[in-house]
Amino acid sequence: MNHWIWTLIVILVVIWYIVVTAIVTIRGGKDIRTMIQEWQKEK
Amino acid sequence: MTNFNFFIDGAIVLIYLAGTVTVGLWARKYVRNVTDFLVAGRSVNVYLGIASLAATEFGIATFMANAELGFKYGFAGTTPGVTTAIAMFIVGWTGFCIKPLRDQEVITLPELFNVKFGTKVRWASGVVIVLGGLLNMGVFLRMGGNFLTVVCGFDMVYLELVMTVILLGVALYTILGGMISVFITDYIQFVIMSIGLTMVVILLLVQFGWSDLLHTLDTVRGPAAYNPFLGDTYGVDRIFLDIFLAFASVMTWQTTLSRALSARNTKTAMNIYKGTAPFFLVRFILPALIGIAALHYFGTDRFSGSEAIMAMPHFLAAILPVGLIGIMVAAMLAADMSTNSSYMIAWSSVIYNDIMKPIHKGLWSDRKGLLWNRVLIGLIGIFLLLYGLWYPLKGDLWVYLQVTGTIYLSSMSVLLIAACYWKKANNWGAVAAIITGCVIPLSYLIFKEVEATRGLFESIGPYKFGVATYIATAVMMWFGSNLKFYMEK
Repeated sequence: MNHWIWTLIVILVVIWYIVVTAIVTIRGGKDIRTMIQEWQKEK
Repeated sequence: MTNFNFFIDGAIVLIYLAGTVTVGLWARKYVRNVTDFLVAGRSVNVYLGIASLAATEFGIATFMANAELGFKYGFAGTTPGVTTAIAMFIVGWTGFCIKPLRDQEVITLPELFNVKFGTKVRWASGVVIVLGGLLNMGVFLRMGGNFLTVVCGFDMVYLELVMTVILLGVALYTILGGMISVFITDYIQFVIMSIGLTMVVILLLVQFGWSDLLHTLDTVRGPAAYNPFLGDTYGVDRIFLDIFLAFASVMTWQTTLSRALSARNTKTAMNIYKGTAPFFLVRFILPALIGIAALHYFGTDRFSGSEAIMAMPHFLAAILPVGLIGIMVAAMLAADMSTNSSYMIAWSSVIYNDIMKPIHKGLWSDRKGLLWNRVLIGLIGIFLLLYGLWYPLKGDLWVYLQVTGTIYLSSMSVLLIAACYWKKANNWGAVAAIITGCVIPLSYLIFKEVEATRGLFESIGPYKFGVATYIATAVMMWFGSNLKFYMEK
């Protein structure tokens, strides 16, 4: 029982981590670009 | 014994270091005033906030501490990750405390207390935050040095040199670029750290096999490895402390809070919290998995007691091939640099904004304010170096982090909740809570080192002390506030 629960948790965590990290990487890069563009306008 | 190759792995690490420091230095040109320096001009969006917060709260010290929990307790050791992820999601979802805090547009937590409790409580809160924060951070550098020395195969006599080099690299771009540099370098560090960690976890699952790792846990740790409520290895008192600590840290830990305070608006701050919550679970489960693999590889004899923390670095040094070990070292350097830079700026912001407030009264020019913030970060760097060299960490690293964190988390969380939601709360209660929250954990740290009291304090243990601190602090806030209320009436 313990094995099944933790196997499921670890699989879900690893898959979630890979997918969400990819999303945050792409969208976070866009956030930096937006932020820098705003700072350049203000300068 | 390590597979670290100075030409191949060393080149990977050098490219990463040069790239990060260059970007960090480049970003300094956008710093115009103290608000830019301390909260990046309050212009941070959700995904950058998530990347930065996830990177900041995952350093080498956390990595080693959490791998040690996996090595000692198996999956039960991930309990603090579960409690923190739940706490962070609840706080982000409801906006509990962080909504009123962000709405006030303050830079630090004590600044909010100024409105409710007055300037003296603001000052005292600043002192407690810096004291607890610096003691907590004091072990980061040594942990980073230990990890890198073992994984890269340096002679231990170079430990201090490794620590100094890490610190200089971080201090350089943090001093010049402040929070703007921290956010941009955090993003790079988030990406590198995620790639390195994922590759290592997949490699060890393939190399050792999931069922073999579980078999080791069954044989060595038994059912308690899967359930923290079973047996006496993890324990109920520790679970209670994890719950208190989780809520207190997501609401008041200045490095976490500074992401909410740097957010574009309150809704963005709440979304950053909700989005980062699962990363707090990941930061425990993946290192714990590496700790479990280290247990499978070494068994229990070689790294027992206080040596357990070194099992994971020795394990990585032994199993990672050339190339991957360079990526892993770069990943861990990334984790460490993002943590150190954010922590340095967080404590300097409190020193400048709250402790030095009676001196500058908010009247200094931006130029003078920036100069002082930079000097403070430099001084914090020197403190870290001296403390890291001097303090001999004994026992469980995570316990040390919890006890030192409790010095400020207990009183600050009580003050914050009272400031936001309790009309009757006043400065008498706040002062009583601050003193109580400080005295109990400091007494534990001091008296467990004194020969005459060691036995008694060790028999009570850090978890009961931690839980008692949170309860006593809340009681003193209630008592002090009511006392003043009825005295004035």
